[in-house]
Amino acid sequence: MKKKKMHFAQFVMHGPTYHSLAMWRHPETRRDLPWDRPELYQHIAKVCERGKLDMVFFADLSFISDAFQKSLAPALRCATQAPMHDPMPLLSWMGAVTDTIGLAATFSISHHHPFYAARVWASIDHLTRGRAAWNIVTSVNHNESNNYGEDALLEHDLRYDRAEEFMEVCKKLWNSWDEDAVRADREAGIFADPEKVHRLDHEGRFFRCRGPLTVTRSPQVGPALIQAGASPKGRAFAARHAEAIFAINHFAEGAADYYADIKNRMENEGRNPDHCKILFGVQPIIAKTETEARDKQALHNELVPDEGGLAILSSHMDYDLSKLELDDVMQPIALPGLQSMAEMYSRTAGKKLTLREVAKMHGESVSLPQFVGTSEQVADQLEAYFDTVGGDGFMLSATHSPGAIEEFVDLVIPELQKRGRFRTEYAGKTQREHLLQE
Amino acid sequence: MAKKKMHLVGFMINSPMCHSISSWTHPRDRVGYKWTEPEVWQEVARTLERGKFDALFLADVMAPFGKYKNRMDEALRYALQFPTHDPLVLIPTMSVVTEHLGFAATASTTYNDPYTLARRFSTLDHLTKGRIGWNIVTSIQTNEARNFGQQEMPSHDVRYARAREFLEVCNKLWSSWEPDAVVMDKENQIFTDPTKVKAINHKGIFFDVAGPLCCAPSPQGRPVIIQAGASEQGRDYAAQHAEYVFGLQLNTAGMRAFSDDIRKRAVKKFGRKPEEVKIMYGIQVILGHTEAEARAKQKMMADLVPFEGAMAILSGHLNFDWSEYDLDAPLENIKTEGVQGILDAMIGMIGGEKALTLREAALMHGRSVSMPQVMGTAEQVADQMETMMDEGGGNGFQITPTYIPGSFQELVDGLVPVLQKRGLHREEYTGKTLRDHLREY
Repeated sequence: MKKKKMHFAQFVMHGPTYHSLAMWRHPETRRDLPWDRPELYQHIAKVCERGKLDMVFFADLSFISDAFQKSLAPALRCATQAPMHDPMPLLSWMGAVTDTIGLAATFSISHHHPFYAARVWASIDHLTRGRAAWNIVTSVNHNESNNYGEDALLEHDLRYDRAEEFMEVCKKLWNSWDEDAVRADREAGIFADPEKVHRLDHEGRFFRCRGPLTVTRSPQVGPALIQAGASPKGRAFAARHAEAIFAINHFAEGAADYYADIKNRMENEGRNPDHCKILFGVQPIIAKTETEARDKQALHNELVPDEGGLAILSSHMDYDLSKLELDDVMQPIALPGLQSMAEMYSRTAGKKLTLREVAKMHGESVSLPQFVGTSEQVADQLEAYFDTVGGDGFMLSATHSPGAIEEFVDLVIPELQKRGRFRTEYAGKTQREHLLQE
Repeated sequence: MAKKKMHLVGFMINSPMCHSISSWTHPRDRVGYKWTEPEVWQEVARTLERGKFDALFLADVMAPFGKYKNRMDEALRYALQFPTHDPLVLIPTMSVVTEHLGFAATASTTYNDPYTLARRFSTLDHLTKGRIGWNIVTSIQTNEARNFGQQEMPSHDVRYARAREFLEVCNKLWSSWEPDAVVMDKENQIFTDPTKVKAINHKGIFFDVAGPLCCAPSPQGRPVIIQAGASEQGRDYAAQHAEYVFGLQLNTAGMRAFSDDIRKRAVKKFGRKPEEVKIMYGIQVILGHTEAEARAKQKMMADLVPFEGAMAILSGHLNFDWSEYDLDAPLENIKTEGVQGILDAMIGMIGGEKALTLREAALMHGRSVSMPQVMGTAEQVADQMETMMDEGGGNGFQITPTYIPGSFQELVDGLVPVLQKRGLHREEYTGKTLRDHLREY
């Protein structure tokens, strides 16, 4: 039987750290390609295009967390995803120096009107000739809502009801220009056929919008859609809309359960389960020998400051961990998210951990599994995880910038191509075509 | 005495049309280019930089004009500044191929929120190494309000009150990091010095924003603030905040009155120095090798303008349906939530001339959105621009193209050398940022 091929997205953020809090201090992180310059991201896009990856994917946060000790100081000192600049303009920068690679960014729908989102994404889809992808998120952090004048977060179910209507309006706007609406007939002086551009007159529970969009029908009719929902409502939303999902599952068996659930939901929605690729986050650490790779891992993990780990774990739990005892072996506590996190890291470490140790491991990779070894060994681990899950691919997160990305593309990609597990050429030109390529 | 140098800015919209209706049907417009894709924009940016322009200015419209006969058919048929794609994401495309040219982008304070916009402008300022300006608008059409879920536009007063608080919040966010907050001390494990970053905890009428901004301090600290308000409140806003004011006046007398008024407000009301506010007037330049050739080009442009389209764009900008009014009677002085300054100028309140008829006003507006046309050989155009500068009291010009990218190429190859020879325009950039360019002279 023909082996299923993998899809790959390269995960990045427009800041000094991503999932690894060690990144900015890592000795191999290049000083001549700093995180706040477009040249770094243009370089990354070109490397990923050389590797035939599906996309470069920006996560995003529009706040600095004060969850730990009720202070901004730990996050600022350790650069735990702070500062974090706006990723959207970078898509145009990267698009200008590449031809094929998909370009994805996270954009929260919590604080905007769908007209704004639909317009900016259709504009980027035009400028990149159909390579745009939008990771749709709803905000869940109190620091973020406080930057947008909201005292309380919308209750979970309501948030997804709003998200559902948000996407309905966006999709109507992207379709408000018929395929043949633009005539651009210079002789007759007719640019667009008024019969073929439609108002929405949408009146819903959360939004009103007249339309049409001010942007013509874009190459992909709006961007490709990405989601990362883990709750039941989030999964239902993803099963309806997403063409790719970014998922974090530390162990392959948990990933398999998640994978089966999403594909099942897609079938129930009447969608072809192959039309959404589920990409699991991993953090590869590659070297010439296994020993070297282990040393590299140790060096990296050693650079993660406890304080940074505690800051990011507090932020992810939206709970101030300074209220708990940091240096005793963790006891069962009434914080289910933290409890399962501790169990997961303890299993990987092979021993019971203190909260400080749990937080440090969280600062290494934000619970993405580290795949460590030679290019063959990393390829083996990817294949094993992939085959346990049943598909579709991975979201790669780097330990140092941009070297970790170059190592994966130059060492692991050829190995996977040799094994028939990854494409050797792009079959298409657009983001959606890459995701649908077999 | 050395002559006063002019600032030059290119004026466009991310749209098939800029300010001349049917410019997209011009036989030399965008031949071989698609307006939705990067290459034509990159060609324009390279050309303007070759001509040592201060910046490219991008206006924005967020709905099809729909006041005229209460329909959008004309907007679609004639591409009346429509479709209009997002201007902010276009800037990177042009920044890639330039090093000095500034970029001024329009963003509305009525339909955005301050945290997102402060962050986007800060990021753009970082990525362009300080070449960004923000043209602050409060938006003018009902159809824009309806795209954003409101039945009617907020009133002029409310829009300006919101714009004032919006900029106040943005300024606080841009100041929430001290310039030397990022230390990147790898040994001591300190990326940012936490004592140099503060929450803003703004609580106001329109916005509650905790902050701090999640962007490190950008090269210019904040974008160059640009404004184009012509109403009473708009002029005050410009005089208080703007580093660069875009002025739309029909003639030199109008320019003089506007320049004097803005500077007087800046100095007397807000304690600023007059040179802190640069005023650029919109013009449309039509160049020929001979005067006759320029005149023929002007006529050709005028002939392309469909009258119905002209009525629709005038109705759109004034947010008022003129379809039932007598074409040959002088324009009536209506109260509009649209661009009041254009109407005031047309009825002769500024510049002191007699009121235009509706027909004259529509044709003028369709041809250049009422910006004066400056026509002739390069020498003749340079003469007229010099006179306009001296008599109108501006600091430079925002020049709209008649076809793209060719008319900018003509300007840079034909007119700019003449201006440079007369000492009226820079030979080389002396600064790096947009603010440097504006403050150069």
